[in-house]
Amino acid sequence: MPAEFEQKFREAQERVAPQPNAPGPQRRSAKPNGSGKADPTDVEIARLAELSAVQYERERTGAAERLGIRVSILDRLVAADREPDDSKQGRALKLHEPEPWHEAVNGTELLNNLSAVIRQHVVMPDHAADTAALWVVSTYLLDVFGITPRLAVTSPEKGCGKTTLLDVLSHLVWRPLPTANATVSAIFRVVEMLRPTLLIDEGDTFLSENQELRGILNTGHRRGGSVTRTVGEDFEPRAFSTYSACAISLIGKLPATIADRSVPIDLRRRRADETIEPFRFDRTDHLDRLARMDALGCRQCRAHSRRRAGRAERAV
Amino acid sequence: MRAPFRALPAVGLLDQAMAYVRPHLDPSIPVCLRVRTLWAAVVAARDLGVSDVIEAEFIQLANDTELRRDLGRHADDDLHHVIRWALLDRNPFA
Repeated sequence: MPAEFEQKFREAQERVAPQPNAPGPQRRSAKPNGSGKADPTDVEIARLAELSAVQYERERTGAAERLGIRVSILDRLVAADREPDDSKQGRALKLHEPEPWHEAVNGTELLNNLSAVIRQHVVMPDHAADTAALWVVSTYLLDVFGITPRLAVTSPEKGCGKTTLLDVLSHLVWRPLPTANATVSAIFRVVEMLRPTLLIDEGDTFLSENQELRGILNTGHRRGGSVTRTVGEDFEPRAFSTYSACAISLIGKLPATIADRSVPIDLRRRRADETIEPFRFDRTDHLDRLARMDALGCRQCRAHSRRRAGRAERAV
Repeated sequence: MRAPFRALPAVGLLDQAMAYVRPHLDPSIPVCLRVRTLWAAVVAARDLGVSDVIEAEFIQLANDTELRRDLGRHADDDLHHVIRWALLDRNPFA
């Protein structure tokens, strides 16, 4: 029996084990130690973490002496125990992960529906919609593939539906991160932290001049792609992964090195006799439903491929 | 002389998992614990096969171990609910 299953099984059993008189949630630092009593150091750190900045500044030196640790160490422990600071500019990144569909999913139907729903909002040839549908599915399976091609959405002029296509994709792909004109450091840090699907709009305004960003996008199409940066006060070199799915839309042509790593979708303006359904952000139920099916279908696919790989290994 | 090559029996990971779990669903154990054990087993096994196969296999296991019988009148609904929530890694007992 695989040890992995046994471990998961035990962990799951612990999660649902009946616990009469179970205590409520506790702060991390106030957890009781082995003897059943909370560690006095943890209690003191929890108390300090609840002080205002001014009060903490007054007490930190004395508290560090009492606890027998350096003030800088105490600062770190208290900072780690504080509630997350949400007073920074902007807002925290929360990427959407669709909840898997509750019933088994037919892969062929899913792909056909994805293709149809994309064509419903954007005028494009059938093969382009099929390509986009396959790319959407691939964003859920990054850990299975070794290469993730960029989706290059290009058009000769404005008003061809590039942004609409990215809007539609942002409701279908795994962890969508719509962005335009992002900095290089923001991209590789967020990729390392969350491995999102980057949806880069208006690529023509900044991509041709930003060689560093092109380098990041080039390395990120292959598993193992990374950049090295020094971090922290001691300038420790750290590797940041750049492997993530990415769609780029722009007017004109992509730089050659990115184009080599891309599957192209060329859009043109809609003719008067071609009708589409306008995309509205408050009417996306049909897209969300497909995204949920996508999430489950890809899990089925991943499990199936693992089973087959396991069988092959045992046969060998 | 080298020993002749002997192919290992092709036993699926899911079958092994079911065999491992089966003793934990013994009818002598209280029903409330067995349902939780079944949930934990599906959670642990959900990467070992497609979801409809896993659901069918564990329903069969519940039948074999008499858990379905002991759950009473709404056993089918309860089992499907517990297994589907487990496939989604959700805790129905919280």
